[in-house]
Amino acid sequence: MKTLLLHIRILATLVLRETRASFGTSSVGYLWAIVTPAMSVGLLVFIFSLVDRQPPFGTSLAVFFATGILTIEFFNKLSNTLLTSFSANRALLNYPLIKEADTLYARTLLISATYVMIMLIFFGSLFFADAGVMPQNPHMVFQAFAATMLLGFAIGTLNAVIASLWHSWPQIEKVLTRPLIFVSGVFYLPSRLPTEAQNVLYWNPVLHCVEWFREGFYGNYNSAIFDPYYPIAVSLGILLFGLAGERFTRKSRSMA
Amino acid sequence: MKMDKEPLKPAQLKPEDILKGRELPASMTPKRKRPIGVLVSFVLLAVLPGLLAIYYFAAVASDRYAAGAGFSVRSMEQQGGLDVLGGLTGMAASGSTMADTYVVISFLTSRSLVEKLEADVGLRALYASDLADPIYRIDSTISIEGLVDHWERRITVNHDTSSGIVEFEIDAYTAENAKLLADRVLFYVAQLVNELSEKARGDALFSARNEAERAEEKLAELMLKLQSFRSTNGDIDPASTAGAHVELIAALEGELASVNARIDVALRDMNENAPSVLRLKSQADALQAQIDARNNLNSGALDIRSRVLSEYETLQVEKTFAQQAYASAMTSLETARMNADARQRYLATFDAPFLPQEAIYPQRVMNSILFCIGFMVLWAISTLLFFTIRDHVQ
Repeated sequence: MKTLLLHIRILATLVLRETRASFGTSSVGYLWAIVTPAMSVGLLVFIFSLVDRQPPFGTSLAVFFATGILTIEFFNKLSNTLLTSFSANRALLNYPLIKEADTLYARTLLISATYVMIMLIFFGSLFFADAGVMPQNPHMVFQAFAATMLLGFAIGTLNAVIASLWHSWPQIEKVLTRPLIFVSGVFYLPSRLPTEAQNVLYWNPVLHCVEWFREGFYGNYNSAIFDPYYPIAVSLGILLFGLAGERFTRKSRSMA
Repeated sequence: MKMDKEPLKPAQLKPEDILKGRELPASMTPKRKRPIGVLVSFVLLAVLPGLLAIYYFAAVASDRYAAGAGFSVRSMEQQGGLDVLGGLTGMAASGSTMADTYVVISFLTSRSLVEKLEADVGLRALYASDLADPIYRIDSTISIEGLVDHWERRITVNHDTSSGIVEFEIDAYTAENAKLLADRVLFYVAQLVNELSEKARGDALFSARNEAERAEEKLAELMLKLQSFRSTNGDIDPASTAGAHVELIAALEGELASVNARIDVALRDMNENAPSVLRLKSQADALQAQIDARNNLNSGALDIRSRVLSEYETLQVEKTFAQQAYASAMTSLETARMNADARQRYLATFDAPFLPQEAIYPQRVMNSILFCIGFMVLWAISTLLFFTIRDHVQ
């Protein structure tokens, strides 16, 4: 119990330190972290509304894109930030209290909290601007957020382990995750795709997270492809590899 | 065995312990305890739940029979793809049939279907039956919302978006019930499609039929007006009557002119009192009298005649318009009827429900393996997470 409390205190300290490090000491820095994703979604919505496109589903183009893009950005942010967490925090490890895994947890907590803020602000302002909708099934939105967080944490952990062993991994990972935005149903309705395409896209766990969000937002989304067990199973499998990898490669990392 | 050794060690290490404070036992005891702790947690978190899952799937889980059907919602619009084969070759489903397919898919898990089935075959009783195992059985007093939730878990719907084929599968605790449910569901789906089709047909015909009715009424009304006009004026066709008058006067005048010409010719070599000249003169007088009489008659009744004529002509023009409008309304009604026929939907069932022979659910071996793997992974992750916290003790 005492250890757990100690661990929580370490995590809290690391989160605070991480906030200072990545957003600067001023509050404006953190504001940017929230505003940038919101603005990128806003720009996309603006471009699409110029072409006068109907949203693929629902009444609001903004909500449709935001459920897709914010989910992917959240996932990407987690997996990319965790990837560098071993190399970026090497100096911290001189403190015997802090272990490498702690930096993973701290970054996950900080990014998740940031994205909670981003989503609250984005969907809240859409709602007050009369351009959004209230989620029909709020509990599913929370589940979707948790699932995305788990997936990002799992893949980020594995990324960090691989990157610590193989220094070209960050570049290769970037190439591999680049098409993610196109295969995760951001711009289109996965349920309306031909069944052959659905069968391929099914293997993308991020797509399931996006669909999960939309199931939560829209009352009658009725996704033909969504399966909540798949992203969780993938996350748990990868998390096992990531955590085990972190533990068993600890020696070789500390020597490097 | 290790448990016995455990208390001994700290006792043996006591001198060192004093030297290095509390650090050493703290770093040594976890190393000793770990295998046991890991083993215990493995048994508790992985082996036990795994065994429970295996026991459940081997002994407790009740057999579930599955029956289903496959169909597609088709319309007459697609020429060449009308038969069931068309549904299978994947050239189907565009536009409105696609929308109808989505309606059907939503209907399959809707409360309205569940209520129909409950009234029809007693869905609640079927799933609350004693044949069900405790995990799957529902309370026989469950609310309709709960029943809908349960129904959503018992029906699997598959939709092939490229061909428009919908397949569903329902499971129940006896083979007969599974088939019964699948049959009833297919029946209600067909009913829904027919309703949709009728509605689409009615909507398409409604305005065209209204238009035709209005044109018909207008035409009938004008015919009636014309009829009463004729009977009040005692004239079937005032226009031709007037024409006949004009023609008659013209003929009389022509004849008068020729008689006058003949008088002129006769007077050249005859005396004015010659009998033939006198006859011609009296003929001319008679003609002149006739013409004057006719003209007098006309000029007296001219007022009335022209009014009657203009009234008649207005009526005539209106009638022509009404006739044209009626004709075009009838044509568009015919077109609308053809369109509506094309818009008709029907359910092409290519796979009717069969009586299942074997209970294919639950997949006992597969599920047992999956559950065991799942518990192992969960245990492994929680152990690893626990260790990352535990690391701080050192």
